[in-house]
Amino acid sequence: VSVITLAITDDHRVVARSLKAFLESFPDLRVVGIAPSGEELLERLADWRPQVVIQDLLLPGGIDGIETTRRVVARDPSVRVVALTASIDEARMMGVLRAGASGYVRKDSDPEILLAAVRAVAAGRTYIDPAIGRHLERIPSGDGLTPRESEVLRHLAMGESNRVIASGLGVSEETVKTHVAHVLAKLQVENRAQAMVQALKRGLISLDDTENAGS
Amino acid sequence: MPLDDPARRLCRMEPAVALTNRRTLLDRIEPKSVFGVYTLVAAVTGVSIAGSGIRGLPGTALADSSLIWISGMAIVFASCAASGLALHDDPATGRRALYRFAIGHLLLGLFLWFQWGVYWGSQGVPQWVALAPLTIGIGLLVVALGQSRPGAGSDEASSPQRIRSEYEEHILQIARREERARLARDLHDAVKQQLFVIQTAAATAQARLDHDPEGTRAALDQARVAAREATTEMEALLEELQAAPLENNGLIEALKKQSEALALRTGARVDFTPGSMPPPRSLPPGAHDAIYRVAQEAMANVARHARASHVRSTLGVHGSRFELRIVDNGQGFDPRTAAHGMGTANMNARAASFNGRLTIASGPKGTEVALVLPLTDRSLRGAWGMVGVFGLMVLSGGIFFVLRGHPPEQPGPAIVGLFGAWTIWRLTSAYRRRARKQSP
Repeated sequence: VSVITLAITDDHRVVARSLKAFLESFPDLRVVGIAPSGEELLERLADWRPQVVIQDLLLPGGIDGIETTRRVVARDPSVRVVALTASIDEARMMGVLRAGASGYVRKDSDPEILLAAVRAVAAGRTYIDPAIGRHLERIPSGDGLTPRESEVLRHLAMGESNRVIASGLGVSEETVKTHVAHVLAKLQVENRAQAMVQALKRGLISLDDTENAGS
Repeated sequence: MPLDDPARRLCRMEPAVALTNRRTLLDRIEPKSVFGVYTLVAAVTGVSIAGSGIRGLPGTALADSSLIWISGMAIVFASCAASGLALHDDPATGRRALYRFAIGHLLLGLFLWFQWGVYWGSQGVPQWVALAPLTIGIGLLVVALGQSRPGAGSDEASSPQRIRSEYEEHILQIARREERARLARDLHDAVKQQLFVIQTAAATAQARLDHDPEGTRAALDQARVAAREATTEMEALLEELQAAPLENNGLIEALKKQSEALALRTGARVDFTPGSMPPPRSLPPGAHDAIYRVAQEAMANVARHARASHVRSTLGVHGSRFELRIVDNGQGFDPRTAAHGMGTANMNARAASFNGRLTIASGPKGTEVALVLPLTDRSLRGAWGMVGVFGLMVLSGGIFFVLRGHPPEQPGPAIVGLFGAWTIWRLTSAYRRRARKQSP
């Protein structure tokens, strides 16, 4: 079994410890470090070499979760970040996704959601807490996206690679790449995680879809 | 309870209440301005009397009569000043001070009447005796003013005094709004952490149940601890919502709870050491509440920004001041950038409304928030006021003796003697009390 290594950033020690105990209940997960602040995480990142960082967004003082995420991804782009937060502030969510997080989970969701998120991002997918979808402000679909582009966005949001999307739609990978570029440009997003949020907002994918994508 | 605009409420008053309303003009007179009017009357009377005094009294030498009037004026002014001090010491309960003011003047008026009136009567100038009835009259007027203040006995919701206190309330509301925002933030992120731990620990127990009894037990322990912590924290938050502590023990209890909650929230060690508490009525009403709110605000800041591992909080009397101090060893902050959202405006407003001083010192090694409120040592001040009055009595008696060549007629000296004994008793008991307080 390949083991996913994790680091946890949370200023609340008890929270971090309970997370560690929970995640290590599963043989495929191992917590290699707990940092009470963004600074400390960045300091120990090279020692710990986690594959996934579970990042609390609200940190008292110092650099916040979004800035920590940005620096972690800048230092080592192979590290996946799952933002874990009590907040349902959409701007903050978009902020951390823009900073490079691949997952976003609410603290009041079931712990299994976090588990799914960790496994999804470790496998290179993105994962947005299904509960978030309910809180997103809906945007009517069809704001400049062609039906084909919407279809591509839907697949994109579910975390499929270009190749999988191409075979699913029966077109070449090159065509998919063009579509993806158009979609990202039209929605003014930079990565798949943000695209996923946009897809949720447009009702292109449902919560079930994201759960399937996550599992 | 949303607060009505007091002015609008005044307009809506029923006719029956409007009767009280008419009295609001009198009622609006601050004790301080009563003192001002009194001084003015005394000054005008004094000057006119002095004018006639210098012209000479029938049957007396010019120098004698001038001295009499000038010393009489001195007594009137000094008594005004003494009464004014009594008024200043307690703006919050001005009414009680007003009574003291009035009673003081009744006594002085009686004294003057005995002292001088008898003399003037013997000189065949009864019109000048008006000086004493004037003092007595003003004293009575002040008593009447005090009596007419509704709220002295009645607790009518629409009484003018109440309305005035609602104006003050209105100002406090601005501070309260800030507090409510903090409370919302607290509720948002305080108990949530514990609930998260409970949920995660329960999931851990489920996941480990089959293969890891030790881990399961540990997770369940964790859940129970978190549940207990959530309860404590919840209690502390509920406490915040409830009426603020109004007396010493309530304040200590409430701060103890807040300290526990702070420890749970931050994982820091929080030591709360209550010291000697102020004697009753040495703090104006509402001061305990202000202390409590400032402590809450400071602790919320520690939880939110400080990242401290140790917080020390002390509360106690130091000399004539009551001090609250909350010191943490966290990372500190720049007071210039932290002006907003840290409740400093709120804390300052609270301190200022009780003539207190709030200081926040912050550096990379931590933050210290100190609230210092002045204490009024009522018994001591009152006793010294009596010493002053006694001194005046003796002085005027002395002047009388010098002018007349024999002691004043009874019952003047008897009154002075009784008053002196009372003064000495009050002074010694006040000092005894203070000595007891300082060596617990």
